[in-house]
Parts: sequence; structure tokens; C-alpha cells
Amino acid sequence: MKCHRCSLREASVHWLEMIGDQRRSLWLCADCAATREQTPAVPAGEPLVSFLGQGLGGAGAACPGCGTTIDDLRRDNRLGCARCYVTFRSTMLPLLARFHRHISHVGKVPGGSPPTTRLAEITRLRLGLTKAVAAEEFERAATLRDRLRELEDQSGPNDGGPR
Amino acid sequence: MSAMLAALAARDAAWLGGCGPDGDIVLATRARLARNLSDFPFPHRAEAAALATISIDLSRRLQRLPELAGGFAVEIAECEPRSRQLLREKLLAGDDLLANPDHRALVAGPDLALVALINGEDHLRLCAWQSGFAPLEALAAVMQLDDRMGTAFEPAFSQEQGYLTASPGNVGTGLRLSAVLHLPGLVMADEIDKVLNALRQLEFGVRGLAGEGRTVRGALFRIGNLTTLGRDEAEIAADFAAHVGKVIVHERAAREMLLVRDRRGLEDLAWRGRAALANARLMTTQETWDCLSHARLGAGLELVPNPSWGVFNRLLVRHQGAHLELAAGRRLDGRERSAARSDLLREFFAAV
Ligand SMILES: [Zn+2]
Ligand SMILES: [Zn+2]
Repeated sequence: MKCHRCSLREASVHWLEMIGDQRRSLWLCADCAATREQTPAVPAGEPLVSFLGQGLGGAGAACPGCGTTIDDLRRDNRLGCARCYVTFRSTMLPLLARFHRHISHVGKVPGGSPPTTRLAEITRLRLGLTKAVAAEEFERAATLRDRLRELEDQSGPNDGGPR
Repeated sequence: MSAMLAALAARDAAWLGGCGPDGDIVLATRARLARNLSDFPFPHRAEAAALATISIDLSRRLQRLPELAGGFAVEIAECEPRSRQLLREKLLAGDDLLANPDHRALVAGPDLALVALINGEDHLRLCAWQSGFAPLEALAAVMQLDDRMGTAFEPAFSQEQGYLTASPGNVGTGLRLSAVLHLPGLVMADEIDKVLNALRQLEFGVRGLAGEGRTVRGALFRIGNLTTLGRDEAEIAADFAAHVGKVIVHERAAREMLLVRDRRGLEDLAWRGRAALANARLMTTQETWDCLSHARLGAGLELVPNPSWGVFNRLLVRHQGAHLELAAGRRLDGRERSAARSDLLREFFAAV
């Protein structure tokens, strides 16, 4: 096979490039592969954060916490401070829903974390449950589900302590 | 270069030891938590004075933890470009920490399994690495480290959105789990697209070893969860373990299939890779990624001798430019690097 880039020399290197979501597979000769090595592919933002730029309306008030404006958000794909989540709440919620498919937090809260051992046990049970269901071992799955419920009931569904 | 950096350069991370579960395919697993201080803007909006305060304070507190005692504390601003490259090659830090070095810092335990990054994209990122495929252990370790740091500062947290982060992609738990996988079977069987697309549908991110947007080399992929909000840590970890676990199963199946289809072809590939690693006198980077990949695949199928997964893992890190230059103690041109690289590889492969 000839090199995909120069079409002159015999290809000897299988080259995989990932640019964002796109994967490109190339066969290159040693020379072209060496040149390619020097020039990294264009860095691509994560799928989520390029989303910040979309869906954002026109100019509005700046965040009182840090001075960030909608334009800054669009440019940086980053919020400026914790208060930005309040300032830009109405803009952020649909975007969070689209990306995470959830808008509210479940899990650890500061100072109220479940003991690590219990967390690990829950994780193990959930994993076992997934596997049991996949293997159609429904009796085992039922047992695991019961134990999981018991454990989760000990401190409410969110694993949280006081909120 | 400081004595601390020199010691760090020479240190192989414990999690490269290759002794973890599924160590033939999975090099390592990392759990990472993103945290911020409530009283300061996120690093990219913060004044230099604020960043300096945060960096000094967090670094001091981290170094006092018994888990990190006897480890490393590195000011990125004090690192010349080669040392920054070294941190990248060791997979300890990325561009968000290294691109703007002022008031950025890294604190790590002596075996490099626990790593804290200060003032990167977020004020604090806590990482726990484990050898092989061990997401639950990595999660337990990073949660414990977070508990230890929990009283040290008031975290940016809201009832509604959980831990608040500079990127809305990390908000909620702030938890990202990722694993580095060697998937030559899926690449050669041309099934890699199918598997990676399925993972993307399930909201996992896939990239090359070195990071976002960089080329995939040596059939090494880094797979991690992308969503952090709305599911608790245990659920994220169970989901990650289940789906990445399936990739491992697919990789094994692809290897077996290739072995049945063209055993001689695979043997040839593996022995050629080995021969170059054990004998060549000039090895380029690309050649090395490929040869290590082929020899590792062959070792996994017991077609060629296996020096140990740990040797493969450590060489993947140490054959890179900054490591070679630091070992040599001077700047190397392209040809000198190829020579030094081949010497390093022969040291491990000539005897096996
Ligand atoms: Zn070419
Ligand atoms: Zn703000």
C-alpha cells in the first residue's frame, strides 16, 4: 500500500488521529509519519464546552462575583466563579440538562460524605447487580438489589448527610 | 534543575508496575475530583495575588497529610520547559496546569499514586492512580484524600449543582474516572470505530494517551466518563467499571479472532517488534510506540517472551524525549535521542 499522504513511498505505519469526535485512520510511510509527529493535531474542546457558546443569549449583566459576562463565557467556555452559577442560572440549566441529562447534584456533600467503606460497598453491589442482570441471573440480582436498598436507606437516597 | 525535580524524574510511578487487574490490557486507572475554594474566582479569573495565596496554602496543607509525606512538591513556575514536558510524559499533569505556570503547583505522594494539582483549570484537583483496571479502588482512594482535605477549606458548593467547577462539564461530583487501555486487537480487527462510537453514545470520552486532540499512538487509548452531574460517585464508578470492562472483553475476543485468522502474521509482527526493541541502534518515537505495541500484543498472546507488563508500561513513559534528556543530563538532537532511546530499550529487551 502506498502512503496516504505522499502516495510515493510504501506505507509502513498505521496512524490514528483523533480530532474531537472524529477519528481518522491513515497508512503513512516512515518519513511522513516522522513529519506528522512534529505537528500535533488541532486540539479540540470537549463536546460539552463548545456547547457553552451555543444557546447563550445577547449581552446581559456581568457576574457580581467576578465580572464575567456572557461574552466572556462564550470566549472562555468557562465560568468565572461560584456565583456565576447563580448569575447565569437560567442560561446554564438547559445546557446542563442537555449535556449531563440532569440538573441537580446527587452524591457527596462537603463534610457529610458517607464513610468510604460504605461507598465502596454500594459501588460493588451496583456493579454486581449490573453484571447479574446482563447475565440474566435474576435471583442473584434480586438479592443484590435488596441489600443495596437496605444500605442506601441508611442515609437516604442521595448518600448525603445533612444538606 | 532542583533536587526534587531530579528525584521526581528518576521515579517510576507505582501504578506503572503492571501488577493490577487486567494489567495486560489496562495500564492504569485514575479517579479525579475537581474542587474549588468558595471565596475566590476560578483560577483563570483570579488575580495573581489570590492564586499565590491559594497555591501556598493548599500546597502546605497537602504536604502535611500523612498520605503525601515524603513525596514531591513542585512549583510549575520553577520548572524549565523540559521539566514541564517530563510531568506531561509521566501523565501527572496536562496543559491546564502547565501552560500558565505562575502560581501553579503539583504535590504528589512518594509513589506518585496520589497527586494534587493546584490552580489548573480548578483550584484543586485530586487524583488517585491505581495499577491495571481498578476504578473502585481508585475512587475509594481519591474520596479518602478528599475527606482528609475537606476541613482545610470551604469548597465552592451549591445544594442544587453540587461542587462548582470552572467548566460546567465537571460540575456536580467533579468526578472523572479514566483508564489507559492498550487495544491493538480492536484496531487491527478494524472494530475500534464501532467500540469507540458505542462508548461515545454512552457519554464516555475517548482520546489518545497524551491528551485531548493528540494523536493516538501505539494503540493506547484513554477512556473516561464525561458526565458528572446527577449521579453519585458510586453510580458513576459502577457504570464506568461495567462499560470499560466490556471494552476489555471485546479486546480479548478480537485478539483471539486475529490469532485464529492469521497466527503467522501476528507472530511475525510481534517478533519483528521484539527484534527491533532488542537489537536496533537507532529508534524513533513512532517506531518505538509501534514496536512496544506489537511486542506487548505478542506477549499477551504468549507468542513472544514477556519481560513483564511493568517493563512495557515504564518504557512507554521513559522512551519519551524529556525522560531521555534528563537521563543523559543534556540536550539531545534527533539522532542522539534515537540512539539513547534504543540503548534504553535494549537494556530491557536484550536479556529477555
Ligand atoms: Zn509518505
Ligand atoms: Zn462569577
